[in-house]
Amino acid sequence: MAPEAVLSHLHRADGSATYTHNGYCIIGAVNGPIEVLRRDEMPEEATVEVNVRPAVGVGSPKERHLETLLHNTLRSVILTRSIPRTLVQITLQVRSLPDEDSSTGVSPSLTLLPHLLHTALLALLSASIPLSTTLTAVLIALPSTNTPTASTQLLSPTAIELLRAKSIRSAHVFAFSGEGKMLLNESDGTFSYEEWEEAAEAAAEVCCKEDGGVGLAEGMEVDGREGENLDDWLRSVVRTKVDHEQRWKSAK
Amino acid sequence: MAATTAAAHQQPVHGPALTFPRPIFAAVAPHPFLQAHLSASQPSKAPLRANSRTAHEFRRVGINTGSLTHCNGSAVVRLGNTSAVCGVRAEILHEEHVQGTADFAPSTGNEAEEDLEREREREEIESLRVLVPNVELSTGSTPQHIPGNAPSSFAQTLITRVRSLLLSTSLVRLSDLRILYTPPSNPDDPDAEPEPQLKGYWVLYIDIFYISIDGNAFDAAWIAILAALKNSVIPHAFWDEDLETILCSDDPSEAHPLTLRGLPVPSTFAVFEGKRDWNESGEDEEADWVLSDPDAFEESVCRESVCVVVDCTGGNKGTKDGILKRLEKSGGGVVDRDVMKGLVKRAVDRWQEVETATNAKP
Amino acid sequence: MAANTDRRRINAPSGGTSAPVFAKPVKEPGYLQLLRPNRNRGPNELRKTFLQTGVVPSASGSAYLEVPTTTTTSHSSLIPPTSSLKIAASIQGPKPLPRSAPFSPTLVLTTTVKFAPFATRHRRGYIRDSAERDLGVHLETALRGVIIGERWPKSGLEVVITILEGDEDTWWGDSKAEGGSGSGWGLLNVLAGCITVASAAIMDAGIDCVDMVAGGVAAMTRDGQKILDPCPAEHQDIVAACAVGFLASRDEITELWLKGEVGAEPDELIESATHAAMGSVSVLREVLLENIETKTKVASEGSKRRLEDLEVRD
Repeated sequence: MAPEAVLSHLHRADGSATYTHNGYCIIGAVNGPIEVLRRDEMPEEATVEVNVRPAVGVGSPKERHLETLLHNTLRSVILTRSIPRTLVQITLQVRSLPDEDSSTGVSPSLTLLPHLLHTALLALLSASIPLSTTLTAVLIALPSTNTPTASTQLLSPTAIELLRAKSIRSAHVFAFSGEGKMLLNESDGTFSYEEWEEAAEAAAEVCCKEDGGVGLAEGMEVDGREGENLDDWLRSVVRTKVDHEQRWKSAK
Repeated sequence: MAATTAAAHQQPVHGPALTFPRPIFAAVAPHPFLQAHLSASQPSKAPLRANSRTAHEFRRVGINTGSLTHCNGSAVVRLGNTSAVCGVRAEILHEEHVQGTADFAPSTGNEAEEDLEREREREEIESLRVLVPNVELSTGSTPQHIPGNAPSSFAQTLITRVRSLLLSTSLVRLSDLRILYTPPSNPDDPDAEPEPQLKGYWVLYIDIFYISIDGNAFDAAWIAILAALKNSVIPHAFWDEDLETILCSDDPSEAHPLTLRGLPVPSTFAVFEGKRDWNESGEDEEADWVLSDPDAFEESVCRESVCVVVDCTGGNKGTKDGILKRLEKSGGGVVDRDVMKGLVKRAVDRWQEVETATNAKP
Repeated sequence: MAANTDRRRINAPSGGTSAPVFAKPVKEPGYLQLLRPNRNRGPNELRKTFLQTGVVPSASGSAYLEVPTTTTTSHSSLIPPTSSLKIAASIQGPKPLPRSAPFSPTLVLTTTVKFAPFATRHRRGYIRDSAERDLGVHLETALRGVIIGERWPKSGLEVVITILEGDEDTWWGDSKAEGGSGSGWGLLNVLAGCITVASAAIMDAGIDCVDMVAGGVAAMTRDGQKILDPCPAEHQDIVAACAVGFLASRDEITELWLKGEVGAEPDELIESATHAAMGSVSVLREVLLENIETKTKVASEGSKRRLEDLEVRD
């Protein structure tokens, strides 16, 4: 299934998005460019602040780690130099996780990371923050070679799929920019360079292969067309939003 | 440096030159400072960084183990001006204090199920929380971390990475941490093999104190942990029926060292993105450098960083061998698949160096 | 035992853990006394001190002090008989006070003392406890009298002390029998070490001082004998002890911490403590000379290096 996204539904934030995919639901809000604390002010660029709030309880070092990853990645996407001495504040609230998330055998940070990245980007688009490029991310899991499902990469697997394929030998999260540059990679487990390279290639196809790319699952349907990649999905989300905002024009 | 003479040759009529002493140049314009170093072209030798290392050169590892009295294992690790102390302390978690169910299933010893076994063990270690790593940076080790504040975001990121690597590599075996008790065989039924009972676990507190930080805090922390765990000795613990508690033997010959799974070694790289319009002469000139083992100055200038964790125990070093334990990369788009291949190779070479250093007897 | 959860650190099992209990001292009463360490140096003989400056290059000044144990570690038991003393000090500043701070005509001194969790026989927490705060206050008193604060108005100086290993209050076998320690003899040793190492770090930072302050400890036994630099684990009969921060060339004391039943003549004990401090002074002097030598060497090399300076053009 393609991810679902609702944009600009929070009225008090400059930009917002709710993103739902495979049982993960995250609300993102962006405020910016706003005034920055003197302590954090940078003379030549904008300060980016990311807050991740877990579904249950208060934050832990795990959330701080995710924030650091998101901060590093988004800072390279946002045109921080065109809005210097300001603050772009991104808040991501995890609303729900699939029930099986904690028992998949893959680090919960990895399964959550692509969804957080997508939510943050959609919220940034909704807030019209100047960006140098877009970004798409995907999780790839390689099951243990001893199991019957050997040598099949699981592309953007659901928590149940991970649970069924147990045990997972390695899990990889890749994020690519709109131009196909690898922006982020987090890989964990035991794997060879060749396995990683294959995973990276598959991820690039899912994220941003120009045409003839392999889509996510078969059911993925965007604007009635099948076999689209995540980049096209992102475009369609934005297109829908722009169409919606332009409706005063068409409703003559 | 060589840049002076080279630049002077190319542009002899370009207004009065501004010359700064090195530290002032580095403070005023850190980015051009590093670029000037790296692009200083002297045909005879590779360009050097500001710390007079080549781009591929790591700092030498210095390890000193077993110097702390009250630890089961300890190590002091130096990477140039970065130094960290790691102390491992074992305490006992009694069975009645274990949260949730501690179902103890003896290993089946089945080779095919090894992956599954490790998986189960990893989950058990994680849910029991028998490995407790923590870092302390507020020791005056850097001007950024002043004591009196809660652990910074940097410290929390660092410890999350350390903990998740400890868990995902299954470095410590749960069998080393279990405290078992085999009751004497039943006199009525001498043939029945008595079942071993679980009485508790050893909990390892792994604390890292930085004395000084000059970049690459993660590698220093991890190598310190490796060396300290290798150095650790766990006393023999047994269930005393009379006192109904766990007692330990203080006899060093009965104590056992930890048997670690492999030797995963991290290598951190920083990507320096040169300004392409700095030198307009050549367009396809190499403008990005991937610097091994960055120091604090380089970390402040670089945005993209990569960490490669490899474990070549067993002698496998090829691209088909499952030697990679972790890849982390964020902050930019310079490192692609081709560059990563080179970095993995550099990490494998580094593994050899660290392996030699950890095995050397003091 | 159950520690409150700290959401910024990795937490231990919520059920709590306990330090291992060794069987032999519990089961065989005679065995315990075999492990007791004894002082094998004269009453006026000090332990060897190792002191080094410049261990933290990014700090303006730093030093590391180590007083190794004199008792040979036995190879027949895993229980360490005595502790050694290992302290690192780092100086940050002088630097401008934050805007929010009120005006100060003199240097504002902040001292932080923290034990590492593995510094003592009982695991320490991550948050500073009262003993650590106490040490910080005593150290500040010792240092404030030496630094010429008027030369840095509106500035702050941060002295950060990390104790990697600290002296114990009593021998562990005794403290268990009495149901806990609390004499605090060990803290005096730690304070004296802190004063000496902080003094070396301040010297390394080049902060103007009226003299070098050095720490020293003396103790009095039940029979009235004075012992210099006591290692509390080696003595059973200490009744009073005293730590001083001593300025040798001015013959002044900036800090005095006296504990226990001194009797009518506390002066003698204080006098002995200053004698112990003289030992630290001689170590400090050596380190100071070494420090100046290396600094002048670096300075002369630096002037040579200026010829190779990089050039910026506009």
